[in-house]
Amino acid sequence: MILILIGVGGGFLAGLLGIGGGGLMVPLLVSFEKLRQRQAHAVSLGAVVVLALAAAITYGAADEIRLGTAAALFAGGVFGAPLGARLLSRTNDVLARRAFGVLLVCTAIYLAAT
Amino acid sequence: MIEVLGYVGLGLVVGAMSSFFGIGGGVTLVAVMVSVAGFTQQEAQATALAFMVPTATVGVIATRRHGLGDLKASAVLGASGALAAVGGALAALALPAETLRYVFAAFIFLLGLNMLLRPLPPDPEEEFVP
Repeated sequence: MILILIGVGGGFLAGLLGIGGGGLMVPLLVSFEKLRQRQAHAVSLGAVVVLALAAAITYGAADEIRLGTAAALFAGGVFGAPLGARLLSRTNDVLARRAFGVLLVCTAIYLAAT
Repeated sequence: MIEVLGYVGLGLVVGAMSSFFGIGGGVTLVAVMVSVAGFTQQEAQATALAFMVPTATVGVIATRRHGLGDLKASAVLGASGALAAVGGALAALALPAETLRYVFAAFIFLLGLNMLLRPLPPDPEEEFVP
């Protein structure tokens, strides 16, 4: 039941903010499902595939997707993803969580200031 | 050409973050596309999502190889959230780009603070290998 609520929340944010929904699901999975940070990341990533697809189809119907850019990004991303997974299995949970926090706060300040 | 290579490089970094942070790396991607490449907030979000589908798929395969993840739990999350994702996207498309950008910034700021300041739950199983 809690998983379903987390999915709905993550899905809505994925569509509204284009962030995949993991940003909400990871902390909730850690708090309520008692998953370890790394496991929560991995579970969330699997859900992101479905949530991002549903949201992307909706944006695509409104003709907002720049497919050439997405394809170029993916050409790099396909090599980056295994790299991140290898780091994930070797890095401790505390470090992952704090690094995540720093990244988000910096990005928000940058966006609001520009 | 240089622009395309720039996106490939950005994709590499964000792809690594995608599987490392489990957030699809979308935060950084959207921020860069809006502030550097001049995309509207909606275009950036749409393009980030289109990038995320195949990249997250590759990430899932990789994390499974490292013994992480739970496909059943992921499927429950995905199935219950798919309709909400469509609703969220429709809401985003209805908002002015500037408004959506501030909503985006506010959300990731709160999220970041939460990750930084919240105390860690006890984790007796954890075995720290430096």
